[in-house]
Amino acid sequence: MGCASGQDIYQKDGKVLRATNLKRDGGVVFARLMSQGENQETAMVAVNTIDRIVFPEDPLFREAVEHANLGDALAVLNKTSQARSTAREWADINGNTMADILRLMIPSLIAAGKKSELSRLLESWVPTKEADLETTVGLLKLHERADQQDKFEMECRRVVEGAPGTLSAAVAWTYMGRKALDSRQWNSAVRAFTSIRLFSQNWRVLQPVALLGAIEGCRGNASPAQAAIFASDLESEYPGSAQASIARSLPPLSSVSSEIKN
Amino acid sequence: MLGKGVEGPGAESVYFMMASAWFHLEDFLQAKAGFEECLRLFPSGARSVDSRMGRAESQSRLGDGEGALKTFTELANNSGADADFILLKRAHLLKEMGRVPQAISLLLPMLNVPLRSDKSVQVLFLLASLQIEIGEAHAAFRILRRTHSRPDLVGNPMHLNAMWISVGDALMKLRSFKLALEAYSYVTRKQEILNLQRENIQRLEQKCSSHLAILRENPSRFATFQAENTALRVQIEQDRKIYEQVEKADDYLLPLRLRQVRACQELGRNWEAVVLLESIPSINGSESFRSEILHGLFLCHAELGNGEESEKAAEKYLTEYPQAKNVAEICFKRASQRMQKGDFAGAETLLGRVLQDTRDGGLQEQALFHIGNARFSAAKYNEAYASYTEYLERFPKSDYADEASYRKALCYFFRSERVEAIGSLEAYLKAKPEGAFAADAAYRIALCQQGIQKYQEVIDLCQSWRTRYGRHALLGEILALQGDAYAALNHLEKAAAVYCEVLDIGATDEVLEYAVFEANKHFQKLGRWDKTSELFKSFIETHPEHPSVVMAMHWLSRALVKEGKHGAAKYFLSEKIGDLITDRTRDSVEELLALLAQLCAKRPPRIGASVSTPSEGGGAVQRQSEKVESNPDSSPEAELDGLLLGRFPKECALANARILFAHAELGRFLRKPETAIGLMDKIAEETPAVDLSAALLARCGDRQMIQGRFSEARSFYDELLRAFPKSKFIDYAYTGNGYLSLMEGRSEDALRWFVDAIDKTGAPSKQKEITLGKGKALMSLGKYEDAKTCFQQVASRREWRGEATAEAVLLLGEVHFRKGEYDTAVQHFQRVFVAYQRYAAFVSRAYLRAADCFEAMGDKGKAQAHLRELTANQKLAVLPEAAEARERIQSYTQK
Repeated sequence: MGCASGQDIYQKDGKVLRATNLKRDGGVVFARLMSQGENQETAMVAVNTIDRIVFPEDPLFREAVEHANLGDALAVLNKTSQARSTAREWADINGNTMADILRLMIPSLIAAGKKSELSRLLESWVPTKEADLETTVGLLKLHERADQQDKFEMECRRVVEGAPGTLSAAVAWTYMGRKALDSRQWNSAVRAFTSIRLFSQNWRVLQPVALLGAIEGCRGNASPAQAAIFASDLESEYPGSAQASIARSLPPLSSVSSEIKN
Repeated sequence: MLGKGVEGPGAESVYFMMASAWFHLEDFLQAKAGFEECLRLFPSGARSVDSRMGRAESQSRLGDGEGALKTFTELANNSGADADFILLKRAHLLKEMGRVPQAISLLLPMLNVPLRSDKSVQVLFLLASLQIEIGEAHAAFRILRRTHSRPDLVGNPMHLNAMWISVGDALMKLRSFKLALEAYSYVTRKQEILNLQRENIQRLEQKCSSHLAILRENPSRFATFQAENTALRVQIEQDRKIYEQVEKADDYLLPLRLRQVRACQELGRNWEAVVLLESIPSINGSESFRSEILHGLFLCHAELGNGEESEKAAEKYLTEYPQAKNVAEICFKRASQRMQKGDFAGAETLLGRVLQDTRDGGLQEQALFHIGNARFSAAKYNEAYASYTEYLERFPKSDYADEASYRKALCYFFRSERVEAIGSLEAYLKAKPEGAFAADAAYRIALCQQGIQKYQEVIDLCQSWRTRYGRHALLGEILALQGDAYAALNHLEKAAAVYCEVLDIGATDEVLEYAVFEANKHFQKLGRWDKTSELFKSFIETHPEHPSVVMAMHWLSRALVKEGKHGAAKYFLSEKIGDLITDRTRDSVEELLALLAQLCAKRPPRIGASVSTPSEGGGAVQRQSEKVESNPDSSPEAELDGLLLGRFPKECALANARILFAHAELGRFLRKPETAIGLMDKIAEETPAVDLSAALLARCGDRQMIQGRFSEARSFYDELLRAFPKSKFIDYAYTGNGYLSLMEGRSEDALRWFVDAIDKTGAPSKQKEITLGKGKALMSLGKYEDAKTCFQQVASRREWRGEATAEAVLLLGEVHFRKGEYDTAVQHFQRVFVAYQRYAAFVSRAYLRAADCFEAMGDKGKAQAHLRELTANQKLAVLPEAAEARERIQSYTQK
């Protein structure tokens, strides 16, 4: 049974119920209505009569956004997993916040390297009406399949060319960058991660990932000056992120890089 | 109506409407009079606020700014008026009247009030633009950022975009590039705004439709939906207007990207500039900026050291825009890159083009000078001399004139025309006794004298050089040269003494190494092992970080042994090892351990080992060493343990691994290879990679590879790459990863590892393996000619003779086989089983491939003969190739 508090229920017949508290039990919503007096009335509303519910902003979600802005993926996941369990009960009703939560969760799972959790999320995916979210999930499902890697790469390229500011593009660039790092194609890696910085700034939780990736690419390519620029951005913008602490632990590169370059 | 005598509240509306009509007919004089009449008759009427507003607007249109301002100020105190609107009007008036600071003062208090309406956002916009006008772009930036708290109040996002671009531009003027970049980053793409607006409109329309559907079923709910649908329609209309405005507006993406590129370039953020520049061609209308894009890409890639990509951009630019303004600049920069890469001929050609193309005097001067330098570096001294002469004639007063005239003199020096060089250098010194190259010229004169064997002159010149230039940066070279001259005259003690002076003057590593080891050589000739000890002790103390310090320790311990101080030598080494054994960043520890193991492996004489008198300063070493003087009866292993154990914390994994390594080395010296290998494997199995030093990671990685534990090997190589990018063992990691990629069938990755191993590490230890691996990767990629070059290189190197040669010859056969050149292939395979019988695995493969060649040529008899020879060879009988040969022979028989 799900529970939410402080919301307006817009019914299909035009009635609006202002509730202090909602509880759901299967196909029925029990709404404790706002009233002047001490005795609060509880209405029973069939789910199929509800047009939409305007939910108040969930403080857990707000905190998750704040953590995302600081690039702390684990903290985001902590908050969103709690918020999601509440939102899940209302997922079939218009106005639910599930899509907003998933938009935070997916990049956070990628940033925190939680592969198995991400796989579980994809396995149990219930389609949303959000085109960008669905494209992202489509991409990630392709990525999970070892026999579809060529198609995955093609899709990534299509997505980043078509809609650079979207979540799907940010995710595609992240995987493109990581693959390039693995195959030591440093310039391609830096290009992909820098694209996240330049064209997908809104996906804040992926920014530390992009910065660390760019640092690694520049180190691989013996560009210590550029690596230092990205490291300084990471330190000043996301000092508490896991990626910032990894960057701090990297051995200095300056002298060897300039030697190599010369 | 007024003529009919309308009175009362209704009359106010009539007066107001008349005045409004005059206003709309743009007769502002009549309008003003009308609004004033309305106010005179109805000072507190229902329309009094609107009338005042009308009066103020009319005054403003009539150019009476002061009057309008006064009227708006009166209105500001009226609670019925829209405060934000009035404030905006007053500030606009002040701005138009040139009273910008006053307008700012008027608006500033709004920053303390939360945003409440679209007007209050407009107030922010106006305030920000006023701040820009007075050069306060930073304040404008802060003001505009307040819109982030209420994006819903921003009526037209295109207006906000325009504001961010203005703020960014103003910040660029103030050279606040980072903040400017941030300002530009807040600009939303036109397409995104359109998408959002479209989605909004669709959502509102759907809502309207659903209301209508309900009404059709239940008309009694009309009252409920009437108001809501009206409001929805107004909102839809507004959103449509904005959508149309945005759609019609110019796409600012191109100018925005160009601005971002400039900011990134100014900040040295070349990678970001590259990515932005590469995104521009997909934007409509960018064709006319193609030359700028190519120029920018060239500059950024050149700064990033991406030689190939900067060359590509430059080539395109020069091909597509041969007459454009940046041609000379691009050629000049490319020439510099070529010079750095050692392509002096290429540099010279490009600089010649600069000379041809540019009218810029400064660039011409530099180009001519650098042409001389390119020729000089290419050892084309005659041509260089001519260039410098032309340069000095054309630009006698230039910045490089001194250097050009000195380089002219050097042309003789490097042509080994010593007498002419002396004359030319002396002429330079005479003309420019205080010139930047005077000390160098005097040193080279002495070098020339050394070349013509005038050693006493060299000694005198060096002496006078020291008097004239004192502790100049070249002093080390001068002392080394003076030492050489003394040595040539067989004044070995004097020579050694002068070399020893180099120790204290802060000479370069190279000169110091030369001088110290030359001094050592002369002390040895003189039989002065005590002096050698002293020299190396001093060297180790004063230059502990010198790359040759381990070699110095080696020599010091040898000198101590020569002096009969075996114990002191071992004690010295064990002490140094003890200081460093827990520090994984010290590459030299393993070398010292190997040296100590080598000393322990040699047993001391049983009788008559004399103990020398401790030398000055070496007393402590000597006294301590007596305690550890080896017992001829104890085993080398026990002695090694005695020297090493107890000098470090027992729980230190690295120190334990290093002790095992020392024992492995001892095993090697004692010709117990199994022990050595076993101990190395123990290190690899028991010690986590993160605890090991570079040398041990490298060796453990290789051991795991040999044993087929590939993922474990990779972990050692990865740790080596991560933790010790500067280590001299780093090529082990590149090589290991290359072979791992080869085994996994990732030939392109493997090739990249091998190429990087050579380009980035110089392959100090693994050149043979890298060349062989590179050949294999190239062969897998079908690049047979390149592969052949690699295999030929391995097969022809005398110092690599052995197993690698056998494999290289076999692979050369393989290359020819794959190219269908069976005759040549057979020759290589036969060479393997004739000349390299020690390497059974290659020999057996060579037999099989030779048989394949004959089969391919249709000579089954010879094919069978080769297979029989393989099966008849007892050494090869157990190999899988022999089994395959037997099967093939059987199948021939059956056929």
